[in-house]
Amino acid sequence: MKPVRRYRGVLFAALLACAAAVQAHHSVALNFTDEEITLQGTITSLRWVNPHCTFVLQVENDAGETEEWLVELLARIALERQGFDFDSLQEGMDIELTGRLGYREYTLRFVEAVRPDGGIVRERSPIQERFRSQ
Amino acid sequence: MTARVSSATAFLIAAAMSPWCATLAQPDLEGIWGIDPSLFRQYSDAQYTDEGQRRVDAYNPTTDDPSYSCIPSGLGRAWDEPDTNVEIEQMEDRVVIRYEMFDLVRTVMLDQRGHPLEFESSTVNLDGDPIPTMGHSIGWYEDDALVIETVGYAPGYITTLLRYIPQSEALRSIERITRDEQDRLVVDIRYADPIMLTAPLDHRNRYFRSDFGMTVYGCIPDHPGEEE
Repeated sequence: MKPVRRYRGVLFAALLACAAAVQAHHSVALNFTDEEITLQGTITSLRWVNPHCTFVLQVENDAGETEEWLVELLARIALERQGFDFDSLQEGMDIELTGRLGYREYTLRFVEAVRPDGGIVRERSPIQERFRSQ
Repeated sequence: MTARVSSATAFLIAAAMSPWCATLAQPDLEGIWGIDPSLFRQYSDAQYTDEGQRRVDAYNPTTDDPSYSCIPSGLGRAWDEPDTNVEIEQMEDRVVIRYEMFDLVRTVMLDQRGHPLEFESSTVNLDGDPIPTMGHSIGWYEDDALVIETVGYAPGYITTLLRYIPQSEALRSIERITRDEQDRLVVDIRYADPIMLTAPLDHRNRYFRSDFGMTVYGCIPDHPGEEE
């Protein structure tokens, strides 16, 4: 599967107000840039754990080589409390992933994933729910 | 002469009774609390010494955060966690504060006159291992507040969320924990660290009654600096 890199480089000013909300355990703002990219790849090494859920996205680059991107999500406890469907992402699944580039190479902060059936997977922390309800 | 003795005796009795009287007026802080997103992580501007600034400049957020090892970087970090609960249990001689993040249990003794000469952390994790970055705490009640004094910190960072404020062994913190008229928990902390800060640092968080019960967090360390 060829990578699709759409460097959006978009700053969502409205989200900045919620930037603090999507941080747990370590600071997302300090570990990831605001630059978003989109990749197509296959999920491996999926871990639903605290303090961070992670998976590896295997991506074939333009040279035909396989790149492995470490993708970080919220803590399991935060996902549970938002009612996240843990079956929505599975090992071996091909997805189109949008994430924020990390300061470390080949790291991404999960933003959303498009599944093979077209379903979109997003995460949201309980505290973001509270932001919205106020 | 007799009158002077009586006055002195009365004063001594009053002094001896004052902690007990204060305890009688203790606020009810018990419950499971979740952070209020409209008022949290409010820090005053940190004013660093040269050493403090050096530590800030040297900090690498992708490798230096103790959270990767399931260790809170400091007291502020434990209170700042957004997605987990804090539970407070008040007993006659102690207050137990459970931070769901990293399964931390902090025991604040209320019957102490001071800190021990050799500090032992008041906070342990699920395995009973002490967490030196959280320091040694003693507490008492003042009016409507639980006051906690903490010293004996190991070097670390008061917090590593959004900002990274270094702490040294010289750090002393005073927490004032109250419940407001809308049944919210308010935590005010003042930090003084002459090695890292040229002026005290103030920190405020507020908490709602949580919608969730306490769970076992079960932290699994990340090691971002290591190659797999």
